[in-house]
Amino acid sequence: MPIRINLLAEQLHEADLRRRDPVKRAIVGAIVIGIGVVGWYASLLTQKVVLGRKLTKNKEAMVAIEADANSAREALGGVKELEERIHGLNSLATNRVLWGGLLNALQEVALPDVPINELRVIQAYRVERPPSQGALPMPATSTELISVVIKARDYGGSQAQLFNKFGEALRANEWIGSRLDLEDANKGISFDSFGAPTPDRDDPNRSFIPFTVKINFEKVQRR
Amino acid sequence: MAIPFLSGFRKKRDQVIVVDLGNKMTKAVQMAKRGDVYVLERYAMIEVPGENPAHYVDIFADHLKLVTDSLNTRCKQVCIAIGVADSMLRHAEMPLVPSHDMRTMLRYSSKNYLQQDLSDCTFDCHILPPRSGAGAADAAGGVAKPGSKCRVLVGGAKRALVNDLQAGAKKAGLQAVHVVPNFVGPANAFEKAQPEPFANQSVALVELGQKSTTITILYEGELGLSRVVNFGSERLTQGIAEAMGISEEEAEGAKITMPTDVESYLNALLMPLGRELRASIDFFDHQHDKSVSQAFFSGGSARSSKIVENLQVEMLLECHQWDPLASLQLDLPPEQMGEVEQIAPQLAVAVGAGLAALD
Repeated sequence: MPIRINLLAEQLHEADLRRRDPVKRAIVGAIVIGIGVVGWYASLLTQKVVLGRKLTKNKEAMVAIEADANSAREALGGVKELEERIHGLNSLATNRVLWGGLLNALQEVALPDVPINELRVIQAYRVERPPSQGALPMPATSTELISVVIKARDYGGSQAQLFNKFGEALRANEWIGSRLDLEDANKGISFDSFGAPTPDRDDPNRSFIPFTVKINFEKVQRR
Repeated sequence: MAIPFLSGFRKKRDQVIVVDLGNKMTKAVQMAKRGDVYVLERYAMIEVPGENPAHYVDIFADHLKLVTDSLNTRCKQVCIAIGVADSMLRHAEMPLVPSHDMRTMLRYSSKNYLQQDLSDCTFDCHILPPRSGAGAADAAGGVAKPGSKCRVLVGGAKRALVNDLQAGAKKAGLQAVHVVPNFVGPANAFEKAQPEPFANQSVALVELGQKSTTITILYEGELGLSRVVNFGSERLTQGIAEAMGISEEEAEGAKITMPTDVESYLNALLMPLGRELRASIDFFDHQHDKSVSQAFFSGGSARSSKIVENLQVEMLLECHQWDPLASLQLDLPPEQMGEVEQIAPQLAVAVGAGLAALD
């Protein structure tokens, strides 16, 4: 190991002590912190400028697509209307009394001297809410009641009693017969009223007996 | 203002200019450390102006500028080796405390440790390793006992001179990083150039200067004694000039070429120097009970083998010239490469100081 003698060692040591002066250290520390804060502030400013530019670009893009958005909004309105119509058709298909089958059946059972004047369908729902058993609530049930009221004229005269034949024909029809409420006292078909024999206004030589027949269809219970 | 947080990470020096302020010539080298290899990059020999430049800030600054211009370097860190007349090197026993405390102790009580009042001096200490079986370190584990003493080499110089050197370097645009007493230069260079005799033998290093000669005795890798003999090559030149009736310039040339008629006067002229050197060696032998086996010569006059041979006769000791550049890698400009071998003995102090600065 070489002999290391440095006559400047004292001066270098003193210079080192001066360099390590705590006041200088504090000043340098403060300068470093200051530079750090300024740097941070500058970075925030830069971020602000960058984000501002981004926001402006986005606003411009929004203005540019405004017309397209309006047309899309209008198209959506149309779609909504269509959906409502579809919904309406759906409810029509699911909730209405289907006349097709009934009218087809009526044409099959129609008698020449028994013209039908009026056809009315009564559709009702009876909702039953049974009392809860203890803590358990019992489910409600709804019963669908469909009745068809037919007002017709019997031109057969009192001897022929075509209204009875008409009633039998109704019962014998496959479509109506399969849907009759057999639990009913009248097994689904009942004559509600008969009128007095009445001369026909158009042909005074002929007379008819007005009558009303009621068809009760099978009750459908839903839970 | 330097940043104090970074001072702990200060980069180790890897290039330095070393200026050996001689009485007649200033020897300067630029050295570098590349890995484990020390490299000599440039050297310059500048004649000293009339006044000793070390004593005048402005002259010294101009002289340093001249040196750096000659070296053609951009290196700013300079190590200055000051002559034996301006510095001192002593052995002392001091309490084992940090170097800074040692320096403070020497500043305030130099009389206690150096037996001389040197209150106007600045010092530095090199702690010598403890010898086997003695010294400050505990023999069991090499751990120093608190309050124990240790052997130190104390270097010193007038504080005013060191401050002037520092100011001069600053004025020349350089940064003085080391000021070294030139006693230690040859020892440091010898350690690298001749590691085997340095580590295992007792040898004398003789630096033949212009006005004085220094003898440094190394034993087993330690500087044992250093002494200045007031006999330099200047006296030899004057002696030759007087004896032969020629001018001093002619005598200077004759000293190197050594014609046969000069040789006859040489023995008589070198006799006082040889005796002084022998006396120093005998003193060391007597003090340490170690016999010096060889003497190695450096300095301007050591270039002449006849001078070394004559001194060998006087000193009754095997004497050699040695090459202080032996351990260095030479990376010199081509124009310097040719003559470096000739002037190598004169660079011993500069090279030694550079090795210590770069280590």
